Amino acid sequence: MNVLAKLQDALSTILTDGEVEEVYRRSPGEAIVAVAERDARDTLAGLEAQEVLRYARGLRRKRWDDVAATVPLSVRVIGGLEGRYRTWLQAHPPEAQDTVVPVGAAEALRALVDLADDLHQDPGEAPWAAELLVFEVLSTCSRADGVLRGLQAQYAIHRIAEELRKGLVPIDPPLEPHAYAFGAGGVRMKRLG
Amino acid sequence: MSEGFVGAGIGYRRVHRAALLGPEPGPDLLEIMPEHFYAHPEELDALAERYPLVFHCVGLSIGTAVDDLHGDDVTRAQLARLRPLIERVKPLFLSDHLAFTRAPNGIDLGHLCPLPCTEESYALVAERLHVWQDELEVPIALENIAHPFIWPGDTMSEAAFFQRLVDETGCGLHLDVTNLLFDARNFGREPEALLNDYPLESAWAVHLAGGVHSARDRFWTDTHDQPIEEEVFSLLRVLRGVAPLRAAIVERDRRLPPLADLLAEARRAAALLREP
Repeated sequence: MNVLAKLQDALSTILTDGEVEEVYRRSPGEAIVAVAERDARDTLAGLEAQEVLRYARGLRRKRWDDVAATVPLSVRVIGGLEGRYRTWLQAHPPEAQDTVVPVGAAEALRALVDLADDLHQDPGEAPWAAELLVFEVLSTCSRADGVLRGLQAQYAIHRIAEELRKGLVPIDPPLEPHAYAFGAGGVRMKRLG
Repeated sequence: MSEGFVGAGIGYRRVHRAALLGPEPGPDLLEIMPEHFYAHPEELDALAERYPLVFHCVGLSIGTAVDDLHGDDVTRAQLARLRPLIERVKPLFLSDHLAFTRAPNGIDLGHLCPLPCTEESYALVAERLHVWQDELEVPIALENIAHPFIWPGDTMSEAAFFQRLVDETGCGLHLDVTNLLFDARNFGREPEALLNDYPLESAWAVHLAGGVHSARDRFWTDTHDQPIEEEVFSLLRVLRGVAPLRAAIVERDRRLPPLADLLAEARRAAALLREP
């Protein structure tokens, strides 16, 4: 393995792994020894730590901006979505993936199961919040890559989304189970029960 | 590669599609991010019928230090999608950045990270450029990024790195004037002197964008969400009669103003470059 590859591997770990970044913040040398092979350490140690940390912050901000652009309705009604995503990101360094889905949607899809679980378990959030997030992410992804995806929701999420687009926040919408199928051509839905 | 200055271009954003294909005059050229069309290449056809196109990529990650000369697995997949898209609409050229966005260990930074300017980096980038040029059969230019930091131990300046690349591979320089200005401000250089270090005689296009200054970090960032600064326009004058430019392209990704405002910025830049 050449020195350039070692530098890239070590730097990208410092930039994206929350625990390693924390060590680097306290003691750059300690983090570098932990993640870099011997012949890459001097170069990494010569970087300005403040610049590396600022860059790491910028990478996270860009990632969130991309995700937020994918789920504008969820961002509007789920107050702590950014914080939830950032906490999740710290423990899930982004992996290279080949996809035709836009970057923000691909990243939202990567985090979706965990974020939706988190929202489901939070009594402080609207009971339809997780389903709205899933609805937005899956519809964007399927429009882009044509892969069929489905959602069984307890609420009429398409109607809730419509209200939100008009600037209205639904108060206590009724339980109305729906099945949604997302594809390249848009979303198809069926009322259940 | 020059066959004359085409004029004022803007980065294509879907929200402007109807206006760009409508009856009003549009830009002289459109810059397309091919990643946005891999799933639906047919959506490019109407744009290509009306405008000359250039392709601008952000994720080929030319600097990822893997042994495969094409690049990592994601790059290989993207190259396979690019080829038919290039054949379909025949862009004037394709550009990406002198940077890496993915590490060999599979971590995706999601943004441009500078390469150390060393012989090792140079050999990798030059060889990969040859492979891509052969495979894609389209002129390729590389763009200077806004540096978040400077690597210690560089054995040449980035400008010298570019000079060697254009001399030895025939690639072009896609000069981002805003990135260069912010690099100068962030790292203590005089902008015009820094600009003159680059191989301007191989600059095929310029990018212009806006950015912000963080008082907390004392750092300029090219956020692509602001109008273009006057100093960027001023620097364009250095390029007149020196650079064989095909286009001046405005990049705006967020807080999109009306299309007319973007066109006005692009036309102003083109007019400055056309002045005798």
